[in-house]
Amino acid sequence: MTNSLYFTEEHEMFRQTVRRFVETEINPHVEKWEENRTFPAHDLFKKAGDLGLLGITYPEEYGGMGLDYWYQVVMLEEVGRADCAGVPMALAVQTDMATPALAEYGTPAQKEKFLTPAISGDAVFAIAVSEPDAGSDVAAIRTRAVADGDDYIINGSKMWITSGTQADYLTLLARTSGEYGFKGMSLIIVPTDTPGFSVSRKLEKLGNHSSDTAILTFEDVRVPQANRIGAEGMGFILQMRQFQKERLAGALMSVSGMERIIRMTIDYTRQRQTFGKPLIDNQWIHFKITELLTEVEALRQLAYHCTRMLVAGMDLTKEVSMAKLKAGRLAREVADTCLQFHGGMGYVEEYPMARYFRDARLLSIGGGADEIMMGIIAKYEDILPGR
Amino acid sequence: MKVVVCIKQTPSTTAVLTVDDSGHVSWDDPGGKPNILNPWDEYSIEEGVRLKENHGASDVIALTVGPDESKNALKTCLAMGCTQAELVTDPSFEGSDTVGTARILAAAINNIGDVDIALFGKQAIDGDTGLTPVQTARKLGWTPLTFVSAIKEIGDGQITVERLVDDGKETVTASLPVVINVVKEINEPRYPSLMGIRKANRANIPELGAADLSIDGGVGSAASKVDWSHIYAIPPREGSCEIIEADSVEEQARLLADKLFEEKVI
Ligand SMILES: Cc1cc2nc3c(=O)[nH]c(=O)nc-3n(C[C@H](O)[C@H](O)[C@H](O)COP(=O)(O)OP(=O)(O)OC[C@H]3O[C@@H](n4cnc5c(N)ncnc54)[C@H](O)[C@@H]3O)c2cc1C
Repeated sequence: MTNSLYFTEEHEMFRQTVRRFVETEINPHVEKWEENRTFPAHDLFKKAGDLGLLGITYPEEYGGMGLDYWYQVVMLEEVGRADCAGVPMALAVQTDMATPALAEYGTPAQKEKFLTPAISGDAVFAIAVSEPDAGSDVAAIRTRAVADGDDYIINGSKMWITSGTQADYLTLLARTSGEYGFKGMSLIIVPTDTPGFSVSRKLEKLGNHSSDTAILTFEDVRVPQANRIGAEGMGFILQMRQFQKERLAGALMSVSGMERIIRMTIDYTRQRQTFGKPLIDNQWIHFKITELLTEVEALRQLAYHCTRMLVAGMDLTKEVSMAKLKAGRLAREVADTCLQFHGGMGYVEEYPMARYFRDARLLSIGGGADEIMMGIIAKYEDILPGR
Repeated sequence: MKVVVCIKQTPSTTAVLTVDDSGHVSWDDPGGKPNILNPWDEYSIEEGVRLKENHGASDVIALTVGPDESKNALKTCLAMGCTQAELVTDPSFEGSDTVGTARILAAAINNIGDVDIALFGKQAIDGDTGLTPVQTARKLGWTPLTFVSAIKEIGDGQITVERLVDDGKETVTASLPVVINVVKEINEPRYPSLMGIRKANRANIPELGAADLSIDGGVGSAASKVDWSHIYAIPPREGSCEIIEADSVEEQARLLADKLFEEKVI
């Protein structure tokens, strides 16, 4: 088994638990949740929290397990195998996108108040960075948090926010000073029951239907400055660091998702007969499948390499951007190729293939588009043109 | 209150039984899945843990007779919430029939001492006999309560349970100690939490042998009363498929009903 270089017997026992969680608590409900365009995050996260899935790497004093990231890898891989991508994405928002900065740079009081319920599953978190006029260009965000006594008063709007209709807390990136560009931003925890906060619209999407995505509006939303993570003006830098976890999680989940779809395609093409023989007996098909499997394996190993760098405390920005870029591109190729081999069955809703095709497309956009990854890699390679 | 849960490690649910020419039986999982905790025992473990959570049981001890590898199944029990685990293993136990196993389990339960309830699963997915619970009760001289679908009440040295019987359910009360085997209707087994898994892997699982339990005889292949005269794998069932065609669903249903009568299915 390739995994045995990285995973102990204990990791494997944990894998069984997560697999059962996915098989009993997620998969049987996917059809309904996809149709509802949302899933019951509070209910599901509580169950996940009870099993210890939401605070694997977080400190024990806040209910976490204090383990190294390899356990998180197991969790993400297994959750990534679910029958849809929406619910896994929302889970990863909770564990790897909205809470890493809080866990790393929050004060003990902040962690007690916000991280503890995130780990137990009592609170649902969202990460609110993107805005209608600023997605890729994070430095262009306009939402403002203006100091007023001990508080901030927040005005602005956020767009495409995962779990936005049901989150209890937002990890919000906002401008806290008049300085232009990436300077003068702060990360602030915003409880969604604060007056002035509203969900202006739930967005209809191409895929990830089981996950709710929303436009959020802030009108004189008053939160204590004590909710700011780290020093004022450090928000952009903290968010860029938080993005590394987000991208690694995305890459890891995508690998198991692709593997699931390729295995499903193998089964399907074995059973489906054309011209008197199973589809898979055509060299074009079985060769193409081996090629996809090879690419997926290469991506997995790059993601494992990133994990080793993370655990060793190294800067993985370049490598994880490569992994995220590769994941986005490969997911599109896997989705397209596997759908092709399913023929008409790939195009109908009765079969999971169509859903994967829709869901897979997000990876090249969310968490930083492919081109943004390229920009980061180019910067690290020092091949960007001079400004 | 002390509870013992007797469990077994079995091949995976996807393992396939093969019998070679000399009648030697082996299980192989085509996907290479490892041996597991007998799935029926998950219900008895869950019930044991609930006795701790809801009825104040102080100890819930997972007990198995088997090779060293069975410790993995015991770890699963600890991860699900058992307070202790114990492996009973000895070369002389090999080849025991169910009576032999019952003798060993009874000795181990007596050795633990002051046990009020011994829980069992309905049967093991490999041998599928379902005999061991009652045989263990006999060896212990305790009341066997079989096919239990709910534990209703425990108090004043008595236990009241609901049993699944052929044409319904019955409620019975017995004096403790008792041996109980449970059916799957009794609960929904939890799966191990990450915290439970961590604890289980750090736990020390004691091993006891024949000498520790003062067992000399009545166990192992020599004492086995079961004679395996001829073992063979069940030949695959030959099936055929017939699709009933008709102009309407009603007509199809009528033809299907006729056919089922004809074939004496209904
Ligand atoms: C389902 C879904 C869930 C999301 N969840 C969240 C969330 O929870 N929180 C959150 O904050 N955001 C979330 N987002 C937003 C997501 O992060 C942004 O959509 C993404 O960063 C891209 O930003 P944009 O949509 O504004 O695209 P734009 O910035 O407008 O870019 C459009 C396209 O232009 C190209 N491009 C952009 N910049 C460059 C460049 N410099 N060079 C070359 N090409 C370039 C890229 O191909 C890009 O896709 C989510 C999005 C979706 C679709």
